Amino acid sequence: MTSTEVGPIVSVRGLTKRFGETIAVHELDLDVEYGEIVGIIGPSGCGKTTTVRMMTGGYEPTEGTVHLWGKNLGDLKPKQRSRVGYLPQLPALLPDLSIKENIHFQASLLGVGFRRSEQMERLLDLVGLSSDGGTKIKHASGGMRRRAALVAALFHDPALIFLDEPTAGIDPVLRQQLWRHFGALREAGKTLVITTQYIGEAVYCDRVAVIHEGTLIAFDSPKGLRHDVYGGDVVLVKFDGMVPLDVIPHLAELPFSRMAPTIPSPDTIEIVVDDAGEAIAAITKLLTEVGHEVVAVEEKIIDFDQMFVDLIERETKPEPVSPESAGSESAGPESAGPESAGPESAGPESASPGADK
Amino acid sequence: MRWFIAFVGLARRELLALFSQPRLLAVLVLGPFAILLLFGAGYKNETISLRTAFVVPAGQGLQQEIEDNQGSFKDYVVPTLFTSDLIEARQELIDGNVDLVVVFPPNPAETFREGKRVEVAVLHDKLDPIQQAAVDIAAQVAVQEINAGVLTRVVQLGQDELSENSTQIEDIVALSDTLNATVGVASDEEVSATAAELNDRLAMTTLATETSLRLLDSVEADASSEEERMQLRQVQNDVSEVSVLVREFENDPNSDEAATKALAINESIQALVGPLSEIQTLPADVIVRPFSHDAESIVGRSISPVDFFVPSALALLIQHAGLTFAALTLVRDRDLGVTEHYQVSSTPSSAILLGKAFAFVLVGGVLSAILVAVVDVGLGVSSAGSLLALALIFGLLLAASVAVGFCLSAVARTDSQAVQYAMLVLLASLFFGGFFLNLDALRYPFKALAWALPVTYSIRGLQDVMLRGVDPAVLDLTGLAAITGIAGLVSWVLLRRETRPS
Repeated sequence: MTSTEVGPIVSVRGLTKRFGETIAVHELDLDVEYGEIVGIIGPSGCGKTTTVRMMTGGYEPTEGTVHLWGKNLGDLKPKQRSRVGYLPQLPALLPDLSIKENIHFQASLLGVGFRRSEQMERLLDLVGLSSDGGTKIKHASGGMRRRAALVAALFHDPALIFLDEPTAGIDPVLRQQLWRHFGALREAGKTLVITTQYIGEAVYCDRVAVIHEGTLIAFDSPKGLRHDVYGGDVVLVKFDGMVPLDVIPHLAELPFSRMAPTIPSPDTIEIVVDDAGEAIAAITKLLTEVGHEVVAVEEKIIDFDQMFVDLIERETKPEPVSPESAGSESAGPESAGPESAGPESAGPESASPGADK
Repeated sequence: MRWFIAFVGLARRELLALFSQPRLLAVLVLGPFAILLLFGAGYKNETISLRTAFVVPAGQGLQQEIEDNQGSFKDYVVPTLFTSDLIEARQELIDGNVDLVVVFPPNPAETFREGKRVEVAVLHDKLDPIQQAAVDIAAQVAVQEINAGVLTRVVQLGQDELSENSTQIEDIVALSDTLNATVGVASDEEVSATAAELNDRLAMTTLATETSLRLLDSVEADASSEEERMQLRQVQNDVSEVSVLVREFENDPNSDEAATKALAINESIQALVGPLSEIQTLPADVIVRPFSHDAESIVGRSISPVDFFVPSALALLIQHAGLTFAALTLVRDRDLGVTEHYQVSSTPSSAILLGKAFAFVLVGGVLSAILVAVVDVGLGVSSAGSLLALALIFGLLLAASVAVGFCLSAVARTDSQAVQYAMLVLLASLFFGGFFLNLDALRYPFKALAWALPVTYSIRGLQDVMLRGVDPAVLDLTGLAAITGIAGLVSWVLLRRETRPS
């Protein structure tokens, strides 16, 4: 860390953007630290791209400030600005030029010298385009275009990288490969701000900013978000047959239990705990002591898509209060039967890489 | 260094983009050439003769007059119908069988007698103001020629009396001899009639000498013709003196001195025979139409309509090409999101504009060279001036056009808007740039628009170089440079404002 790397590399305060009567982004506060990957997630049209555009200087904020490296965005010298890499949501590529020619053009805007072939081959290889450099953009697929644009954004080896939906339209295998590269960039000391519609990609981020209708509704690590939404880790206890109801009071009295256990299916009990690792051993021991055999005691893998839905629901409508959970401090899943709105496993239709893990 | 890298990157991108569209380049080269070729092949370099119906009163000799004189106006007006029926002539005009109807009033002689000119009406159905003016000129020429024909005939009549082959002088001598012989012998009436006839012949002689003398006085006042004029004046004076004697005799044929006077008249006329035979009067046609024309250009080459329009067409095409390249480029950058990259990377606006301008001027320059070559080979219109001067004009024209195009591009929001702006400039160039209409036909402050268009200066400059074979005027080069500077500055300010990071 150099002497300039003190405080957040990106600092946003009260950032607001209005288009006429429409508020696209509303009083957003956000700090990005050096060397982390911050994901900005949210549904289409929630204000992710507008936020990034204001961070890169593409849009002038209606209100609020953006500081990069501690300096107001407008006061940055061109040399400092050239340390920013930017992949726009729509690749700015000329259809009549080849992939390589487009990358050369964007590299020239960023002041990259004329010897570029080595870097070109390395990055094209990284995104799987090493044999497609001569393909004209008008003949390239959507995925190839995004990858070409990504190479252009990274070509000048920027210190701060804004990527607006870099994995949109790219197959899951290549997406994982790209995220591994983003991780490698982070390890090399780069800072990345990445927007994505794939909620599951939040798992690759150090911190995640969740935006809904232009408002930042959560900003935390993936684990922190999970705790925020569900009150802690979720442990599933599966029985060989119907759940014996007499164990529920015992489980509820455990010291690490965050709320009353629920029964999402007839043979399963779901318990929210502080730490799943510690809780699994203690639950197994308790059930053995009370004389019940279990099929499995395991941590429930939370699907980020569902978590996002739950988070949005929590933020946008008042939580219905059931008699069982009345008085509970958390707005987590209800203590209900199989129809519970609590977290569920990822469905087969999920496109989330997180679900693949 | 960063500025230079961006400049090269932008120029390279624009060149690659243009050369990756061979169809566009083919249209840019072949399209204008094909248009010029079609114009050259299709243009009839002939005066348009108007088929004309003449409405003339029956039995008054006007038709004969027109037919006799039609040779002098056949380039403009071709008589195809003579009629006394105005309705029939109008119907022919409506049916498109004639282009023009010339209507003489029913009784022109009466108008003459009243000392008034006869007004000839001209009917046509032309919409085009230029064609209307052509009709007016054609009708004017025809009427003038008919007038001249009538006048020629009158003068000819007087001159015939004096011509060498005429019997006029012999008649005068014979009448004088008769007067001398019959005085005191024949009756007073007979003597008076002879004197009156002699007086008329002398008056005709006076008219012929007078008209020639007046024409010489008006066009040739130097010493070279003095002797000729002296001779004419002397004859005129002598004839006048004889006329006075004849009038005195005619007034009093019974006086005592009648025989003496008749003898004196006879001697005076005998003395006039020599000088009258020697003097040469001017031909009647020369008196009526003393001037004819033979236009010769000091340019040193004959200029056909195709020759004339080639420099203008080249200027217009090159302006439109350069302007359209530039007008579309920034709009396209905006649409593709490249402008956002300019913002994020803080690419200098000057590098953006100059990089693009370099590419457009280069391609436009190649296009100009090819067009100049193909009009030379294909249409036979070669440049009379130096290639360097030609290159200078095209270079400045392209620079100015690209700069104006950048301004349009900076204010246009869509491709369609940019194209529409470019078309408006093209239309303004056709009307205000001197392509069709002479700049002198425009009045200020509207004429200022002409001076804001690159094509105005370049048409003049290219005509100078290609047709006159001289270097372009400094004013025209300065005008193009000024447009380049001003439009370039405006577009730089607009682009800088747009790409400055927010």
